[in-house]
Amino acid sequence: MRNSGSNMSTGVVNIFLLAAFSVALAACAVNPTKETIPGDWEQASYIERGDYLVNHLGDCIGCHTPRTTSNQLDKSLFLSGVPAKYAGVKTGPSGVAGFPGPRGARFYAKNITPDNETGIGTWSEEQFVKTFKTGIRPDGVRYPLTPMEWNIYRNMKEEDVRAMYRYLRTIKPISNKVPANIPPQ
Amino acid sequence: MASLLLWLLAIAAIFSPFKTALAQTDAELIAHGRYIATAIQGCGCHTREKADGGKDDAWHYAGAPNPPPPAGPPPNSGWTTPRWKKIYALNITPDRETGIGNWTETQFIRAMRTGITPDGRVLDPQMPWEAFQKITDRDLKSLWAYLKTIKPIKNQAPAGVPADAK
Repeated sequence: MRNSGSNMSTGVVNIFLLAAFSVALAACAVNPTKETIPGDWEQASYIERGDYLVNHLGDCIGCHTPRTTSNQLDKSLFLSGVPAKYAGVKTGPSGVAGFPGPRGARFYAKNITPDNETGIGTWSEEQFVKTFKTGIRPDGVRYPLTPMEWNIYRNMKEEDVRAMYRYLRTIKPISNKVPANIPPQ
Repeated sequence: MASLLLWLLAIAAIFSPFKTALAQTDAELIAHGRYIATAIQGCGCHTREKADGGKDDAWHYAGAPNPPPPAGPPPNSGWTTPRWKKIYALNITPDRETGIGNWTETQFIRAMRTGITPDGRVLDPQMPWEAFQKITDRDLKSLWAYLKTIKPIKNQAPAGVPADAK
């Protein structure tokens, strides 16, 4: 009898320890000082983190979403890049005329919706990650240094790049063939 | 004995994360702010470009050159918006006269979220404060902590040219 009583109290202690460890682990997971991703995030999931990076902290929308004539972001063209109809326009905001680069160059913000033909719909997550690490597109074309600052974004933690990719898969695909960049002359 | 050891470990594990969450050191804020500035939000508009299209590190975050060139990349020659014929990125180094060295953290966070500077100007939405409204307190405080550590550079960025200017 004494033995079984002792076993029972050990069992209670062990259950309590298990609960204590669970609480401790949960607390570690939300520890905001931990630099390791995803423990470092203030967002609950990859997709929410990606939403935060694309729409707020990283402001991808600032260049990749066209603006209306009253300079508001045109949500109907969300992240679909410089509209095809502006090809050849030389003056105006960058959402219309592209970004001027060195020696007559002109760079256009790309369509980053999941459209298969004109966006990044066919890119795999690994191709997206590799593009961020190298500044080289899956088809081998090297992007210019600016205005998309690859030498900055290459420092992003891989988990953050994956979060952006997973968020970008959730947005509406929009067909828009962005004007081709004009290289420096 | 083993049971006692487990108890102690459990108690230590419970209390350590809460303690660090309450006391985030300056070094931790700066490190996190550095990650934001050097990897995610490059704040690249605020650094002029060299002729090859790369950033001119000698003028890191010092804003547009004054006087600005008539043409070229926007960080050098300015942006065109509906309200401005030309608008130029400001000096965000901690220089006290020409940068944001005299700003407080509260003023910085207000400018980032509302576009209102300490002297009462409203920044053009070209500075994306609308998108920045939802940046978390921790990320903004970190970015501010980091910006205070960078090299102050003296450069008075050019005043904007309104759209209706002759």
